[in-house]
Amino acid sequence: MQVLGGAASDVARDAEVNGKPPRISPLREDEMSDEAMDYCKRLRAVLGVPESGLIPAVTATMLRHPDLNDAQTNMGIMLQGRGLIPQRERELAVLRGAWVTGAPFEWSEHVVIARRVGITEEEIERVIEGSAAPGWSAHDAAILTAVDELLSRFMISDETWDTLAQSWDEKQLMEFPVFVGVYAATAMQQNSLRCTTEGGKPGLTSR
Amino acid sequence: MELKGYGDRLAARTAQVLGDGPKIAALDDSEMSGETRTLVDTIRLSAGAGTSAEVPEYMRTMVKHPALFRAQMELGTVLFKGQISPRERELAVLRIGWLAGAPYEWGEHVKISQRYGVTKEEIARVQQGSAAPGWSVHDGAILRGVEELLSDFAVSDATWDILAKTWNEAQMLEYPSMVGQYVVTAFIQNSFRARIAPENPGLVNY
Repeated sequence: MQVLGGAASDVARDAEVNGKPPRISPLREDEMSDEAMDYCKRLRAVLGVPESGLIPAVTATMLRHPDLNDAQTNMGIMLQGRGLIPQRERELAVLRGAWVTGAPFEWSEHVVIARRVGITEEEIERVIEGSAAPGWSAHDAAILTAVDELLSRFMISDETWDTLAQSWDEKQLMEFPVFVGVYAATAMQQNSLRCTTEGGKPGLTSR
Repeated sequence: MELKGYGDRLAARTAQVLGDGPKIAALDDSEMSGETRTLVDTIRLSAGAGTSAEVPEYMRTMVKHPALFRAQMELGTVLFKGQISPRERELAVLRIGWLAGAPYEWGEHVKISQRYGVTKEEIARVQQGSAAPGWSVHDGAILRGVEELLSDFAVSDATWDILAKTWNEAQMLEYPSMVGQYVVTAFIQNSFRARIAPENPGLVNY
């Protein structure tokens, strides 16, 4: 199975996706409707930033399509806030997906989140090598393999499904392809819009 | 990356995906609680469809995880009723279903796309992709954008510039998300081995 990934070309991919200006500019505050302002107010409350605080550019961009932004926010809250797959396992999947899709924004954000939930620097390096790298448990390796299978063959193989099913219940198994897909869709969106990484993070070379 | 699709091995792909039946068993009609039926009806109404006692097997499967089902259907409805015209959306979805080797999605959209003006000849041409002769420059770019997103996970400058000649900013914002949403659907239906109904032609019998 052929799997992508920026291992040989992460610097070039960063230059291509993150090094050029965004294709669609973030909505400025003076362009915002009352609804958009209200959304920002709620987001600031959730993020714990002051009322004058900056809204992330990626969010301000999506506010140009409020219905879509709302539905994507709700999906994100469902998967991250009420999702049934444990956080560490989720983050292993997001990291592998961001790496394979060559997604500087997603990768750089989730390197930070992954570390917060206990994924080590050594594991982050190992995610880049993938499921065949020595040291993964059978379950963790199956998570990474499933991401590779979905992104290259658009389905999870029987063998990988069976390994995951030894640890996960039916609802977790149902959630997993949706989870991987939503983060792949986010990568497609952020790569195509050329969303610039937050706070000057380097992108795929972030660790 | 080169994206081959499954055009030369449709029977093998169909057997691989549909295999010996669903991995997640659907609820029986008798197992559907009142709450579950209300959820299905609410989603159908918000999508502009009528309510019905008949609930397709795929929905009776997804309702086993109600919160996930609700979020997935909400996103699907926003994109189905989105800024991109239905015919343009359907061209993209057909190309996704074909490249993802997704019998359920391809077969359903063979039917749906014709309701929105996609011709049988165009459906056959979608299989050949953006390079086939006969597409307008804009339609060709819609298909090429899908090919790029499924292989390189980004729309190229050349394709973006062509689409931006016809589409406004909201449509340009919507496009990669819309493609992504239908990729998610292929991931789910292929991985669950969602069974196709008799009237769904799948990859082989359309």
